[in-house]
Amino acid sequence: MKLTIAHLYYDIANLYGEAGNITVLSHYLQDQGVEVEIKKVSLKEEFSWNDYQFVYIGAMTENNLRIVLEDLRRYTKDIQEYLAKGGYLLATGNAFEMFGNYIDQISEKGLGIFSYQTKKLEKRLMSEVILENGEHDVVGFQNQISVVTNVEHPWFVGVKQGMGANDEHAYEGVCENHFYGSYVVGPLLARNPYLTKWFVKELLQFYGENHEYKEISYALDEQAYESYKKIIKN
Amino acid sequence: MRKFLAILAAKLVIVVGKLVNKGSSLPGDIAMRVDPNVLSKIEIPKLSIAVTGTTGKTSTTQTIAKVFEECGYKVAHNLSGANLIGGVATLLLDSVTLTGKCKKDVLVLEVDERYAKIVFKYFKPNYFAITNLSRDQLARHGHYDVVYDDIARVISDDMHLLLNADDPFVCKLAQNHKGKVTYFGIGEHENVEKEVLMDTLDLAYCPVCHSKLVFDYYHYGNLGKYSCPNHDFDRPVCDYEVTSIDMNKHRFVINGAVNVAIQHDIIYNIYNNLVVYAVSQLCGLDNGKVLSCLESFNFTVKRFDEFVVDGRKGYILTSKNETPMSYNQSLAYVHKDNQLKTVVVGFKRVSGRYELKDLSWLWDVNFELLDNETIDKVVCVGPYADALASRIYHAGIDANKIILEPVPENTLKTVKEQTKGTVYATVYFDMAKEMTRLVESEAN
Repeated sequence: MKLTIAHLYYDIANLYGEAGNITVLSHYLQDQGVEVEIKKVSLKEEFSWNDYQFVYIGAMTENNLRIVLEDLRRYTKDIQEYLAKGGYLLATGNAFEMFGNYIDQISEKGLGIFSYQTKKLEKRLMSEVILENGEHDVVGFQNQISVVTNVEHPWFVGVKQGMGANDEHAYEGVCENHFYGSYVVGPLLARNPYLTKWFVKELLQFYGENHEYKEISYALDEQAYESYKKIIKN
Repeated sequence: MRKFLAILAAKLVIVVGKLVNKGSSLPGDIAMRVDPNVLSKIEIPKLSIAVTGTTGKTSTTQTIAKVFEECGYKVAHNLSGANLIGGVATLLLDSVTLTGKCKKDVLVLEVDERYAKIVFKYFKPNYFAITNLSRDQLARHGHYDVVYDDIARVISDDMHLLLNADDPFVCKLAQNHKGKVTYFGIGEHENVEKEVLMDTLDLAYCPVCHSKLVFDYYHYGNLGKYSCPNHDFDRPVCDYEVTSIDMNKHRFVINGAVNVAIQHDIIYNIYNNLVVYAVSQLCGLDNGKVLSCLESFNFTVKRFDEFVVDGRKGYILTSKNETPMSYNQSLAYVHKDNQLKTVVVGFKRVSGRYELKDLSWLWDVNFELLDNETIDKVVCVGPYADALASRIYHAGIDANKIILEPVPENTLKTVKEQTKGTVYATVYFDMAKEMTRLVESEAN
């Protein structure tokens, strides 16, 4: 089985350590016997969404959000088709905002694929975050100048620590079919081995036909996750 | 009257501070509480030089101050990192008489990137040098554009800028500047990198036409020779360019003619002394005195140290957490040695400045450089040893080469008992201190 992963806007949407997500996801997939091809694609380059099974976009500065959004617009129809046929798209930090209706902090319309919109915060929000996600919470760091409203399907159903999608603190992130967006910046997958395993399982199930998932333990990653959770817990 | 009281208060606290050997920002903080405008009421030295940037500002200002002193100037300088408003206020108040008259000839100021906007409210430097700009302290700054914007808005046309030509992000600052600019940089030499080591350049695209910048070569991080395919934003021609480097002899040459010494065989020290030389020439200092001062100069803050343990050679390379550029330089230094070695990485606190504990930056550090046969072990120390180990594992290092040592005090013991080869401790300030302590108590 082979999967082709795109790290889209790798050289401009890389606020802090986002490349780690691709590194760890591909290691986990390779350990399952999957052949992984990673392609780094960026501004003004040709990109055919049909060639990929997993596309990742990381967080960026507000200036760069404007530049990337302008470039991403040409793909609006392709992205809709990609998502409709079940393609996986992970967008961390402010990257996921581009797929909604409106981005307040840069006063720009989003691609309008989803109905959510952002609201600019008066002060940048930075905090460690613990999000509820089934058996294993998700840990990470938030660094955002906006919050999101009108989310139909949140990704993380509870916020144990840090800021939720907006003032109500009830949930975090966005999940629509195989589109996953979260304000958590940086190496979300690298720091959450259980979440990464979940993505691996999903990908095997969806693309793998008969490729069976085998449980693998990643002692170092799991220890790192557990002890970090302990350290940041209030 | 308020001004007088404020100056007096600062001076009293400075005296007390010196007695108890503490506090460089407190006197300034107190004076500003007595009179919030005191800084705009006192005389500033006629000549003022400010230095900011992500790395190198402490070493650079220290050396500039020393050079001016050697040339007979009375220098006001904020020693080792007292670069926030309180520290700067202390310095300025210490350099005037009780009536606010200036006692010094030159002000050499290290300014924090984010505090320039406050410090420059009270005075504008004649010369403003920016060493480099790269991602740093995410949890404090937000991101690098926030830092850039804060510097950009304090620059005025009456300032003479000294900019690092090799850093596109720094050169972007000159785009709207109508005043004087002097560029410094390092030219091509035999040890330049032809390929980018990380994709995390903070300015990968031309700020004018958004075309990807093309690099002919890199020195490290985002520093090198770049151009825009449409030539909207090319590396500027340098006024002071390093034309050759002899790392073995710890020397380099500026503009094919001036032979300068550096401490240790570390490339960032070249940038530091290059800025010092450029400033000294712009201010008309005696060339010979400047160069001889650089021959013998020793930093008071050590970022590099050597030791011997059980007959094994060791190095302490202080590496700033949350500043991948700093960490990557240390790792590049380790990488140059192709003998068997053990690397110690770690820290007690993520930041010496705040309580946030973000670790995203670990994934921007090029630990992949340690993925080779010359590495015997990587020892991850401190409370974050687990996270470091996980990162290093995904950099391609075998799990059985990774040792976790959560207790900093045991570092040297673990290194001695479980590892081989030259020891490189690429660690944060707090662990560097711990390592120094352990090495010294070992020697006694």
